[in-house]
Amino acid sequence: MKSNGRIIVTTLLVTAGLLGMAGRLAYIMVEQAPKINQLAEDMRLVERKIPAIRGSILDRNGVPLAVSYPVYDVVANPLLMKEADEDEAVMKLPEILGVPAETIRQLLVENADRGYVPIKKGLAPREQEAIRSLKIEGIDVVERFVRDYPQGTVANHVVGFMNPEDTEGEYGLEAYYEKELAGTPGWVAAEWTGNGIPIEGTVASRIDPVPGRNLVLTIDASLNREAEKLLAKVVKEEDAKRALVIAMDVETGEILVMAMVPGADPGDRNTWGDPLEQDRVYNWAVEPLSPGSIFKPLTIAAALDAGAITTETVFYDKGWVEIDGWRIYNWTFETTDNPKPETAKELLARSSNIGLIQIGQRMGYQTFAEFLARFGFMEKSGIDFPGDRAALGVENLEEKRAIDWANMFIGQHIEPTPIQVIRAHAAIANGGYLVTPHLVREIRDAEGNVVWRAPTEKGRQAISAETAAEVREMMVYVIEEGTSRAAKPKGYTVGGKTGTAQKFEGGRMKDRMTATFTGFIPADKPRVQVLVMVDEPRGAGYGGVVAAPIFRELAPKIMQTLGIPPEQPDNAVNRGGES
Amino acid sequence: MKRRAKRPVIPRYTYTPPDAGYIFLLMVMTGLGLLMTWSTSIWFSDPEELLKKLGFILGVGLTLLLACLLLPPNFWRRAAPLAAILSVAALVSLKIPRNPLAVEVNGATSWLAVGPITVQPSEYAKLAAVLVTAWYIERKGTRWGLLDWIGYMAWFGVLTAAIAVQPDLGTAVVLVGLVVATLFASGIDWKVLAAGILLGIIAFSYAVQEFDHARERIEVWRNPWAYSRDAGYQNVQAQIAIARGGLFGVGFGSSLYKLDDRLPEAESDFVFAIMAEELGLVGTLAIIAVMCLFFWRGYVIASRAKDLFQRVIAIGVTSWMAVQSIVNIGVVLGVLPNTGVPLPFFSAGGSSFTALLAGAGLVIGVSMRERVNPEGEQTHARTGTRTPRSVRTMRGRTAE
Repeated sequence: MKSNGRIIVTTLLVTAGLLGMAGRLAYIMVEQAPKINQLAEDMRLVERKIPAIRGSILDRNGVPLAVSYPVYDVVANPLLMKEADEDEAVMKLPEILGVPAETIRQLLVENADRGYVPIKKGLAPREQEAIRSLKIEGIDVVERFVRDYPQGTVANHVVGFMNPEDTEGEYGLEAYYEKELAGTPGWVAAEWTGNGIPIEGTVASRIDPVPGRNLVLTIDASLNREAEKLLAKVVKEEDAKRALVIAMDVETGEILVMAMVPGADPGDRNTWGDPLEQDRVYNWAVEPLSPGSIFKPLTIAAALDAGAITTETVFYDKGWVEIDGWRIYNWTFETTDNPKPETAKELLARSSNIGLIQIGQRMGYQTFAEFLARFGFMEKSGIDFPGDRAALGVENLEEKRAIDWANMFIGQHIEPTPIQVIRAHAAIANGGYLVTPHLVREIRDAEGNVVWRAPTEKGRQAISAETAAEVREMMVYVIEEGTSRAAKPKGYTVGGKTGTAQKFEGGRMKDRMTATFTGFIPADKPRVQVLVMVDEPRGAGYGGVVAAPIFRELAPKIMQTLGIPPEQPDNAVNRGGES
Repeated sequence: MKRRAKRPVIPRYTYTPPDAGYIFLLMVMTGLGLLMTWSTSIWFSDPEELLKKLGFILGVGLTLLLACLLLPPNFWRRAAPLAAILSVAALVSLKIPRNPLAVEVNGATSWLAVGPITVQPSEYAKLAAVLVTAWYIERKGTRWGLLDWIGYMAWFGVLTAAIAVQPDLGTAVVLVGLVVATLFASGIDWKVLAAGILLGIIAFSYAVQEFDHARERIEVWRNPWAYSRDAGYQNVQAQIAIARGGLFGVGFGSSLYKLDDRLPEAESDFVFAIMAEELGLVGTLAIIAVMCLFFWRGYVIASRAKDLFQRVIAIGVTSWMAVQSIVNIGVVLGVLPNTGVPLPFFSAGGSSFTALLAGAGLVIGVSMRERVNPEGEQTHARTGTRTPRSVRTMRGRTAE
């Protein structure tokens, strides 16, 4: 029994163990300490983001189109929760949250190895206070901002929408002005408890978040709503695919109305169609589309400005012309062997294709191409909106055949974006210069100080003021005497032009066309240019029938909004009674 | 040293002066331990309350120490079977549903509430394991047959399992470690012991593979920094606290990491990290040296004991303290996966502290009693079935 060998061995083993620990201790405290201290420094002070509230989008009168407000999510960190904490959570949370106890228990049990388990999202401020005051270990309240669109579908194609998480603008002005709207998140550098609360006295630095800036739009929400109503009516009555109205201040480029139907509520993805209907949310004012005959005043303006014709120059329209073996007719398909002499004004008034082709050919392709560029079709319109682009069909002009040019003179075989069309027409209305169409008038910080104002300088001169005046006179004549009499509003003299664009798909003409109208108001000193497009209405769907009445209804309301009185006060009283 | 005590209670033992070195080192350990507990607990405690609490624990501990020291080996021989039953009963009672005395803390049912005091039966189970092992070895000798093994393992298995399912894996590991060390040092046939250890390691590896939370612990242990925000938080904080200590430490009482739960369990299982932070490398190495001397002294007392029972008791108590210290420090230093065992004498916790003092009392008791009649020739090593005559005799005597 008296063998102490084993005891000695055990003593040595214990000693070795403790010596090993001593060695390890020395290794940590001497060798590894600098590295650990650095890691500790990095780890102890943790920077956490404080989200900034996103700026609002307001119409020109301050009506909110998009606003953000905070909501609160209750999240659990089961890693931090002991059984007693879980029991407490299961016992106390259901009463405040209205979530069944079994559901909470199940969430906690099934996600026991996860650190972030949302229990309920979107709490009101008062509920979150109640949750916070419970102080259950591992149960935290996280602030989050949601985006809301109080006006629903009003100008939704302009406002755009957020990504599904509501964290970043995905389309429209929400995306284009993301940087301004987003604001700058704040940071707190501190030591944190497991529950995400900074430990008292450890806050090393705190940078408060800077709220996002507010956009004040050029859009008038109530006019836009009015326009959308009119469009909805025509889309329904004419079984159209879609319709738009743009109204732009011809002097400043401010877009007062940019309405599209169908629309959707940007805040509610359920209204976007399933599958997604592109036209409901994507703005097609920046998508190429044949304008049709509303292009003709531009052709005439080019020819006049180039000196190829005068207002007195006469043309003979037989009702058809043959180019490259193709026969082109007028829209009435009427022909005559004894055409009478007609000036550009008369040809425009009855929207003669043959006459306009002759005018175009008279000025020559080169000159016309030059004016395409001067009217801004070869470039982006400059609008502050994602996807702004040049016209389609103006590349490779040297490869165009005679028939292509002929079509271009009458607004076919060229697909400018609607915003380019209205910009070019505004040059006629304002005396010849281009403007930069824009949707945001000014940007304000959270305190309301204006930090940026959209420039409204005149752009380059596209045509001379004289030419512009001559074409305006013709366009007034069109309304008063020509095809577009349906567009004439009560109380105001206006100028304008209807159009009906043929649509092609895969090289074949579609059954349905695009009914278009553009006009300026008031005629003597134009202030606003309006573009109406009704895409694919049923039947004939002529611009004069389908699109012009929208102008007639909307234009006077725009005038009233801008405070421009009607020329005939009597009618103004009547209209006042109507609206 | 061979001086005889004047008034032996049992004729077969004589009193010798208790081991002064052991007592001195015990006082040093106890004093340092209480100081550290004060340092790590004072920031969240009322000083007066804390003083009362520590005073109470020390009082109970010293009482137990004296009792263990004064009660003769023959009392412990008789108490051993009772301890075997009581320890298992207390641990199993924790698992009885709706046991009014069982207290759950941190998801583990490890406490029994006795009036205002809560006791951790598992701490006393270690003491019981030492006592029972000593008693068993004395009965069976050092060469066990298969039946002896089965008999011992049946009891020890239940005891360990009852602790493991609390769940308190750390204490179970320490219990296994202390018993293995005790059996080894006591001279149990090493081939069988080695086979047992091998089996244990295989079973343990299998368990680690099987259970996700165990595997995760191992994963965290390998690279705690990768989990520094969640599962590895405690280990990482411990390393940071240790690294902060430097050569001479930030000074007693000045630890930063014990505050505000920066280092969870700073006053109990992770007190060693705070010791390193406050006392530095030099101070902590000095404490490790004191531990070393203390354990040496314990083993010296064991080696000098003249009978197997006393010897195994001294070995057992010393191995218990040593194994638990090594496991605890290993965990804090990241050498071992995170289990939860207190550092003997230094971690706050009344059950642990009083059980340790009781154990130390037994060792001092061993040092102050010398067997008069050698018993070697009476042990039936081969058969291991017959009770040594000495024990029978004693039973006869005490029964009178």
